[in-house]
Amino acid sequence: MTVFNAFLRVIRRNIGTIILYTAIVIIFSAANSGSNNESTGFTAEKPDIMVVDLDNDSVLSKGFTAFLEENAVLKNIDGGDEAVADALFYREISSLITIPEGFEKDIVSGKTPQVEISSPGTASSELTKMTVQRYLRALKVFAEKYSDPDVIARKAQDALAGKTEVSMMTKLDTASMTKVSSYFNFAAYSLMSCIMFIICLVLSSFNSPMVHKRTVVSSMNFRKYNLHLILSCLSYALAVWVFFMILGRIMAGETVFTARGAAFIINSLVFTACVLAMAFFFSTLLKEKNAVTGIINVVTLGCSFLCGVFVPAQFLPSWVLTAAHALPTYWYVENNDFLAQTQSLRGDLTHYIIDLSVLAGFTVLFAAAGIIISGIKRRE
Amino acid sequence: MFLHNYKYSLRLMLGNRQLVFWTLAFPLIMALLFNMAFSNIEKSEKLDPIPIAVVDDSSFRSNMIYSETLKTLGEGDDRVFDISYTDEEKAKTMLSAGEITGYVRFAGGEPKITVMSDGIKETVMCCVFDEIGNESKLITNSGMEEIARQLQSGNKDIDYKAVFTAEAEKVMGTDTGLKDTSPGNMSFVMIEYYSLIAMACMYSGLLSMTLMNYNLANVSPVGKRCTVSPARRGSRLLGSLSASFTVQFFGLLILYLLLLFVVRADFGTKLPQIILLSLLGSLAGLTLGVAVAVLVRINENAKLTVLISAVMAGCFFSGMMGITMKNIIDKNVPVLNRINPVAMITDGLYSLYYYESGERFIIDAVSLAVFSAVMLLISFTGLRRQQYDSL
Repeated sequence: MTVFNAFLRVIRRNIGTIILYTAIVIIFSAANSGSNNESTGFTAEKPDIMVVDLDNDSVLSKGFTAFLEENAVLKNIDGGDEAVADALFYREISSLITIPEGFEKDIVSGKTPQVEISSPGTASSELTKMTVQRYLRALKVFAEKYSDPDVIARKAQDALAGKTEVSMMTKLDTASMTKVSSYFNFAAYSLMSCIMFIICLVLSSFNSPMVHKRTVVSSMNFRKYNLHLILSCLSYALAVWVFFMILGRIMAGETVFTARGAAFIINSLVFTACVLAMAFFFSTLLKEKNAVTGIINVVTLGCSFLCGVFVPAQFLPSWVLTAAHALPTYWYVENNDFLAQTQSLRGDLTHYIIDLSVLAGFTVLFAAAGIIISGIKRRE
Repeated sequence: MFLHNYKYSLRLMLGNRQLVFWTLAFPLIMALLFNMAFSNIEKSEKLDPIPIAVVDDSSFRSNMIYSETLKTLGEGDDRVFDISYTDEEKAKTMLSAGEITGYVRFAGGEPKITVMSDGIKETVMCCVFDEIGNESKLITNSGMEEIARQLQSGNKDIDYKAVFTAEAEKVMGTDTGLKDTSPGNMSFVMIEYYSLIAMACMYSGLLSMTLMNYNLANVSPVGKRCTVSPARRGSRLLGSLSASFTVQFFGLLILYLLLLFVVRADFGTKLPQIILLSLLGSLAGLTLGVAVAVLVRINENAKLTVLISAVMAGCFFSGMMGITMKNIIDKNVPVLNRINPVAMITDGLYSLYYYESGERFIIDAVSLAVFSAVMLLISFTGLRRQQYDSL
């Protein structure tokens, strides 16, 4: 009971840290839940753009804006030129299109008005550029044949109405799956931080020379003491894991409690065991309590940045991903990404089990290394 | 006395491993982690050639418009697609394995696209096929209208192929007059490095706070001894702050060297303004540390937690944990970043990089100076005529 009480005291004293990491995962998941498109049909991406019409809403500029509205989301940024420039830099809008004064007059008279596009050169802005060029080309073709702006606008609209037939090969709800996998991926950071920080603090307190000496000379059975310590750590880690699973149900939706969701949950349970072993391993290395915050921050941030927790693995350089194979977080994130994409979990079960086995291997490795180091230290 | 205190303050700071870690090592570690995580992110936002497969059967080969256009779109350095011509089964396998974005097969002269999911590459692929379809329709319609016109004007000897070729050239060769006016410096990952510099500046508060704790009688035994000594308080504090500023200056210098020569971050060309902003930022950090030490009457470790949490919260609102956050706060709660020194430093560096104009930078620099003055004023008010009945 003494051990349990000490454990609870450390948790109470550091409740702020636990709340902080929980808040981080909530903010991140809430930010990710914006796209709630739960469909299995193809939906074209619509880039966010801003259109400045200097031609005073002429028929052709209105037609142009209407066509852009079909293919993009029109946004209006208030606050002047600087606010618009900021919005472009921060990708709030992917393009700014300026329709010049006299646009309609120029088109009708066969001239080429200079429509301006400003963008950060992303794929979304390239898409907008293609859309703009398509419309302008059609306008110019019809302007050669007709002189009435209404007719030109209508003809251009009709000519560009045709869409290619698109079908999706997957029957998987990829939007929901991405939401679930990004929650579980980000939860890795919070799980690591909450578990490793508290357990390292507790274990390094118990391992500090004075406390250790007092424990050794006390009447407490050493085996019982170790058992209590192990049970406390296990129940704390399990409680944190259960808490994040409940939070997952709230943040990522009902998919968490499907068969595929169960696979995500099992993956996170094995990862939690691995994090527990890592916490034990690092606590044996730490000599003073003050170093816990620094070391744990470096370990958790390092694992998160390199293994695809903060930045999706597909955006990481290949050499970083190769190096990340040496970290357990990589295998956890890799398994989550695999679960979000695989068509049939039953067909690809080997992949899932291999990743789980590697995680289990890391758990054994860290636990064994921790036992060896603490054994050596005790003999010293 | 000043030099004596300066020397011992330096020794105290450099001997404190926790302090050295947070102020010198942690920003360097973060810079390296940022570099590893973000070095590819902007490349992946660009539109590289999209890998697609085309089902190469008789239906495709007989469709001259699509086969010729796709051939052109798959050639050269500025190609739109990386095309694999294959059969449908192989195309399906490639799509399942994630080797291609989608595949296209032709039925009844029309393309049918199959993709795995929604996404920007899939949308671009569809958009290109829409464009080919629309333009082929445009050429056909214009050609038909031209033929009708010629027939109406009495021309019976029409060269149909020539009419359609002329229309195709007219449509494809149309100059749209679209002018690209994109600004030059658009690398938004730079915000991460700017907020990192800002964090390093504000962490100088840890240095000044630790040294202040050695000067405060109600915090440490050293503080009690210093307070009862005949040394002037002003001279002691000046020595401590100067030593903090020195350590901070060298810490920032190392960070800048790492960012410039290893990470290759872009700070623009205005070096004097960057140095001025960093010095003002460090001053803001130091004065914040003094204020926390004087005003927050809790134990040393709790003060450390308060300061680190305040700086990290400032970093969060200025975009370190999500680049767009700074813009969201600037737009929705502008007052928050007006009083947030981390945002002032980040915004100052951003304005030098993106706008290269002075006005916004001057506002940020003046705000930092005002912030430092306010912190100092508050601290001096708290420090003046301190008396203790018992300790």
